[in-house]
Amino acid sequence: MKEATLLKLSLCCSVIGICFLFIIVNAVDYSEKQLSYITRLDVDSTLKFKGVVAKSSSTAELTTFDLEQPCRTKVLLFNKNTTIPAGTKVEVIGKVSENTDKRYGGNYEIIAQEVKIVK
Amino acid sequence: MIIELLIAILAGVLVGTFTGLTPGIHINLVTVIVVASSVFLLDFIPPIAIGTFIIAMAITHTFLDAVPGVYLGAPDDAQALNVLPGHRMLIKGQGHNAVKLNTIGSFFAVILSLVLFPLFILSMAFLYPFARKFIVFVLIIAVLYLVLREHSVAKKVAALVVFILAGVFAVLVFNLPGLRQPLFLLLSGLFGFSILLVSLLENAKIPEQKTCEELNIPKKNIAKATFAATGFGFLAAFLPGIGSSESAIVASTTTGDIGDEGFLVLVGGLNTANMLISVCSIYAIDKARNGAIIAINKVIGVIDLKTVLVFCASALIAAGLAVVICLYVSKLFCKLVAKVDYRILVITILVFITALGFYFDSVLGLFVLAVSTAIGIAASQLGIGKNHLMGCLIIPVLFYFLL
Repeated sequence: MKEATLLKLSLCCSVIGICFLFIIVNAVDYSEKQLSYITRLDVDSTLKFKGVVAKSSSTAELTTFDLEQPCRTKVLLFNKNTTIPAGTKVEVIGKVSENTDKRYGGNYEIIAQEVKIVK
Repeated sequence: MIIELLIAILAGVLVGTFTGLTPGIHINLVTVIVVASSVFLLDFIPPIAIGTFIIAMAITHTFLDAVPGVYLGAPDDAQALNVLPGHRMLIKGQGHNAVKLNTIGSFFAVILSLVLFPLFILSMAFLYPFARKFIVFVLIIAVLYLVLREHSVAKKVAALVVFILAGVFAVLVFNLPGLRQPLFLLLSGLFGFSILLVSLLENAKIPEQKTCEELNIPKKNIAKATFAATGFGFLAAFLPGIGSSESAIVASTTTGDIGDEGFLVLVGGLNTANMLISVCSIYAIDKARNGAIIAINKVIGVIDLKTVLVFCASALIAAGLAVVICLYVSKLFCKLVAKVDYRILVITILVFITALGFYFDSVLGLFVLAVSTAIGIAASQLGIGKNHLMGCLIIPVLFYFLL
């Protein structure tokens, strides 16, 4: 294989990769769901939720807050030490998980990958 | 978001270039720093951008690590088997072609791995429980095949002895308390140091390196090597204890005679395929098989399909850029090797490796380096293949499965 051919092929692949990345980032979006409609079938699925932060707390490596729609669900954000003030409108993308600690009420919690403040 | 990802990919390619070219520096060192800094970094950078940086760095590293392996005889664990065929081509003035072959293997392995990604994801979850049970037998059969392939009874016995010696020594080294870089010392001694020392004593001269010479490998062998690399890279990516080098041993028994050129394509492709397909293993079976994926898992947490797709795109972009950088750097090394007295270059590399060994592990490190070099030289003097020295990785893996 000639070196010039290899170089052209590699640069083409990089360009294709950039186009592919652009498509994935912009076109692939998560389904939005209401907290009250979460069922067992949604466990382990990554979904999008919009709501208001009801109460929030954080430690060195974990931020937790209640997302209110008005139905409430606990959201956990790992590796982040951020306090989100109560009353902030947020968009959460995360994986639905079964809530094994019933003290907090509700059957499900969300392990967030991304939390965006919505204006 | 797209701008952040592209910047992360470029940064990953640059850092991967540095780690690939520098003997003794592994991407795991950088990923440890990234994970430690993630609490701070995540305030400014989305987690997926950090993951993308790690993927781009890891993929680029697998391209660039061929350069020190070929020109300096200083391989990392993934390139250990490539040192001798690479060195042979360097002596013939074809060092650049050796790097080019490795690059071709890596590049086409990326493309083939991406095409087969859905199949890998589906089959990994299904195969994993069965594969664990039979892999040890596959390894033993492959090793026996390689030993029995030696031409005379004396060489067969010598090959087995060297295999066991390297393996037992490795088990002892891995269990020595306080050693920081046992793998670096072991592989540098067995492969790099011993080859360089022998070439120094034999007054080997490196001829002028030709950068425009056509590759002397049939397309059929490139295809065989690439398919074998991707297939065995898949196995290495999800089986515990099986790395690129062990897979290369098994893969070399299935491809037939593909020559030094084909072997370079195979090992290059295997390393890159292993790294890329390990993204599958964290998604399909929730198992992280190397330091880079462990770091990504810690930073991102849940890896979903969208994240996997972003990583695939990033790997493709990084691979394209890595090809360009690798070929350019290889030409620079060709000029350097031509201008510098080879004896002085070899002595400098030997001193550098010795100094690194002392820096990492003091006198004990030098002792390990000396003994592993002696075993490496013994393999050369006995006239058997250097691949039997892979006992240093295979025997510990067999112990892991059997005990």
